[in-house]
Parts: sequence; C-alpha cells; structure tokens
Amino acid sequence: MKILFAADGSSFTLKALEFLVGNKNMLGPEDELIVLNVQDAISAQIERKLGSGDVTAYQAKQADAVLKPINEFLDKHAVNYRCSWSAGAAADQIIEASKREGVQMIVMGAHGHGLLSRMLMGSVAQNVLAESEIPVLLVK
Amino acid sequence: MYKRILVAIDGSSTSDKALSAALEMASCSGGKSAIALIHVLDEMAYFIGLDPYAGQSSSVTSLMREAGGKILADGLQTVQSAGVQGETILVDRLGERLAETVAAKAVAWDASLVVVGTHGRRGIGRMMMGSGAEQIIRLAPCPVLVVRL
Repeated sequence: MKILFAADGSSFTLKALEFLVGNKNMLGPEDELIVLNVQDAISAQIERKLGSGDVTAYQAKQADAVLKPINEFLDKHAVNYRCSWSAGAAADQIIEASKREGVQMIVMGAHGHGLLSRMLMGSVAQNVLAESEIPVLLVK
Repeated sequence: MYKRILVAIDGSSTSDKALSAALEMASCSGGKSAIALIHVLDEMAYFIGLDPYAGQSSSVTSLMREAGGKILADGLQTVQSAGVQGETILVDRLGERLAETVAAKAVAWDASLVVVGTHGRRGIGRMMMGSGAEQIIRLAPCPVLVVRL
C-alpha cells in the first residue's frame, strides 16, 4: 500500500508513526510511505518585503525541524519512505499530494495543536475528509 | 495492529464501502482481526412511541429491528466469507445520539479502530462530512478510518 502521512510535528505525529511501523503488513518492504509537512503560506506582500529566498529558507528550516526526527525514526525501522514539504493551505496541499502520488490512504491526526482543537476536530482534518476520495485514517 | 475493528453500518452503499475498507484493514493484520458490525436503530422509533398512535410503535420497531438484523446478517456474511471473525451489535438508541452510542460501544468492545462511511456532502454546494461521522471521530476512544462514497 502507498500511504500519505501528513506530519505537523504535534504529539500525535509520533503516535501515528509508531502505529505505522508497528504494522508490518501495512508498511512492509513493498509498501511506500510519503511523509508530507505543510508550512503556512506567507502572504505575497510580506514575501516581497523579505525576499522570496528568505521566506523559502525559513519555511524549509521549519519543515526540517518537523521532518528530521521523522527521518531518524523511519531510518531506524527500515521503512521505504520519502519526506517532503510544501507551503500553502494544509488540506489543499495534502489532497493535492495524495492525488499526485496516487496513494491509497491518508494518515493524519484528528486534531491540530492547542487545547481547544484537541477537544474539537481539527479544521485541516475536516477539510481533508470533505475533499478526499480515498480513505482517511485519523489518529487521535 | 488493528485487531478489533468496529464498523458502523446502515445498509447504505457508503457503509458497504466502509465494510470493505475494514476488511482490508483486517487483512493487513494477517487474519488475526475481529470485526464487530454495529447497527443503530433510528430514533424515529422513539418518537413514534410518543405519538397518539403508539399502538403502532411496537410493530414499526419490530420491523426496524428486523431490517437492522438483516443488514447485520448480510454484513456478517461478508465478513465471514472473507475469513475474518465477526460479530454483530444491534442497538436501540432511545434518543441517544448515534455518535455517543457508537463511541460507547467502541469502549465496551475495546475496539482498536472504528470505521465509518460518510457521504461527504451536506448543504448546498458545501463539501462537508456527515455530522454523524464527525461526532464519532470526536468521541471515539481510538483512531477512526473514514471512508467516503
């Protein structure tokens, strides 16, 4: 199975990863895991002021902070995976990546950061569910 | 990993899709999974019981129970013919919210995964998931696999 894993660096991220590597039948040698981190888009106005190079460098640094521990974790478990990041609206980016990569399932957290959003369902998860044509596994 | 999978079914094509996704997850666990099918009788029966023609309620309820039983039996057959251990749960929810009932059963049955189907569309031109599915996600004690029609 080819799976898209949307990682936001919140506490659920590790939980979801542990589940994924714990399930050898779902993520065996022939399966592939695409890890995606989405960074907030910076408004064009600010980007012009700061220079797009600086903005991209900042986003890359932020994405790196999320992806690096994931890299290390997945390397340890010998998973066939690929990490990437993009900037924009999270749900849109996740849906787009799922189509581009032709994955069979999306795995993500049911909630985002913060206390309130932990009680409610995250808007990103909600939007992904509304748009996705493939099954979405929400880890909580 | 997901050894105990609870699937909410209502006989719709959406719930058929949820069931096949659950079977796929079960096959991922190398045949060691168990699937419980849950069907919740609509609260309509409850209201019928309150109206002046309450005498009808028992026959309507029994019809619904019969229909629910058939949905579950059909589902169980699908599960068993896939070689997965299955059981069924039929619930009269008596005014309780569907999501609360499903979440409570997920706790009681010690489910490690809940699978629900959603129609994905509600309201005019607005893409949203079924509110029932959303509440299940919020209340479930475990991960939820959401399958869209």
